[in-house]
Amino acid sequence: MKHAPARLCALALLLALCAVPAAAAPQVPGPTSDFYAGDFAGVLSEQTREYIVDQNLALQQYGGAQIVVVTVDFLDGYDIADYAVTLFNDWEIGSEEYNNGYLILLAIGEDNYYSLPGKGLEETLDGGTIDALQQQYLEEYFAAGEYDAGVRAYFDAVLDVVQRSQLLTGVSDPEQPVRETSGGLGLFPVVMGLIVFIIALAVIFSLAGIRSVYRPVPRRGIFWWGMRPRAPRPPRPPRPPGPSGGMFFGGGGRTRGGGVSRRPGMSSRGSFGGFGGRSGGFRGGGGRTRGGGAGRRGR
Amino acid sequence: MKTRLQSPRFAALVMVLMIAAASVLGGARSLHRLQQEVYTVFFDGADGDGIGVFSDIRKNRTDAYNLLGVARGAGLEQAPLTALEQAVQAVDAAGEDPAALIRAHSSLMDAVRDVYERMGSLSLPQQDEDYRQNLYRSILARADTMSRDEYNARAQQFNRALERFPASALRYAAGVQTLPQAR
Repeated sequence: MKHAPARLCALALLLALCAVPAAAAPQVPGPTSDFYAGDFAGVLSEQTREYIVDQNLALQQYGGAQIVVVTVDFLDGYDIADYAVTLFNDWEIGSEEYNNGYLILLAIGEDNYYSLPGKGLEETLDGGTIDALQQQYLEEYFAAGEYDAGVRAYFDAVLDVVQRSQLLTGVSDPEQPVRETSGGLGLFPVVMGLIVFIIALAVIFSLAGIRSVYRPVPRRGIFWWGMRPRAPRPPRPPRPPGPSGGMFFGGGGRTRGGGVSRRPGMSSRGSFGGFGGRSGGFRGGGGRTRGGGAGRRGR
Repeated sequence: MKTRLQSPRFAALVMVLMIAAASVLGGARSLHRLQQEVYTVFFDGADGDGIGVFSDIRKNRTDAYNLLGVARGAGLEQAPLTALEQAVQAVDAAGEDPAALIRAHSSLMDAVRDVYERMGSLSLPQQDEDYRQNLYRSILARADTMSRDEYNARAQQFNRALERFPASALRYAAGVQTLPQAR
């Protein structure tokens, strides 16, 4: 009887050890240095991979949106939707602020594909729209084994939709010139300089004291000792905005997605994004998906 | 009576009873608060932006209703149409009761699937076929997002907490039920 508690504990421990563990998340590959084209199955041409990367670099001005194409041979027994969601969130596709990423996943050896929008693109690219795009631009090529052509056509269709959706939601305006941040001053240093200048003036005036505020003021040739104070010289007015477009660069007044431009090693430089050279080392922007993609019909 | 009130034993008994009552009431209140936090995720989404299970169910209800209209126009037999119509009404009747909504949505998915498959055996005009596919895929996609929603993890956590003492004892007094999964 006195050993009953110990036995109960041992039994509880045994049961805990025997408990069936929760299903593990799929093991997905890590992003390549190109990031936007993860061609692990080797079915895309170099031209298509470069095209995908270049178009994504141009897409950065659309709130850090990213369209990533990944091809794999097999899914290792995992459901393609689970695989896609895990990969999307691991790679953090799209910007953290707008969650405007999109994943195109081809599982060649399993004769299947799946597309997945980030949370911020769910309304625009819902399951029905994704399915329609896949049917129109991808399915025929995929069925014929022409993966490269299919990806190219489908990618272009999705790119158009994403660009238009980001414009409509006001995330970014590509008509605004994208400022090259590699040279020249941004707005922030100018504003800071102005503030420092005003503070310095205030300090100088306060240290020097108000000297000679009273001076003889000639009035029609006669000195007027009327003790009229001399008004201090007003500070110089701020400079008008420069030709780059006013208060904001590139993005037209909206916060740029944290996304690609803020991370080290990204091709875009500076806090306001912009184009960088194609030097690899690209990364996700912190985007997330809730799922809700669409796959190949009949699967 | 006066001597009883002045009795230390009586005072101790009253104190114990008050502590017990406070524990039960406080515990019940905590359970309700925890449950409410999970419901907030259900209605407002994990990010508090209104995108979550509730919004997905409402959108699926709308798309199911539209699919019903397309199926009627295509001349589908009455039985699956009636089932779908009743399933849509059940979602409406569930109001803002999460458990009822999830149950109703599950029935809605069954009815939608049935109508979709039966429509596949009809020769539909291209427009109707496009509607059939578009609506069905959208519904499926939202069911997928619901199954992955943060609400499910929170509900599971809450249910596990309910199984542990003292919550397991307090839940009946508090009238707190386990939360359903939106899968």
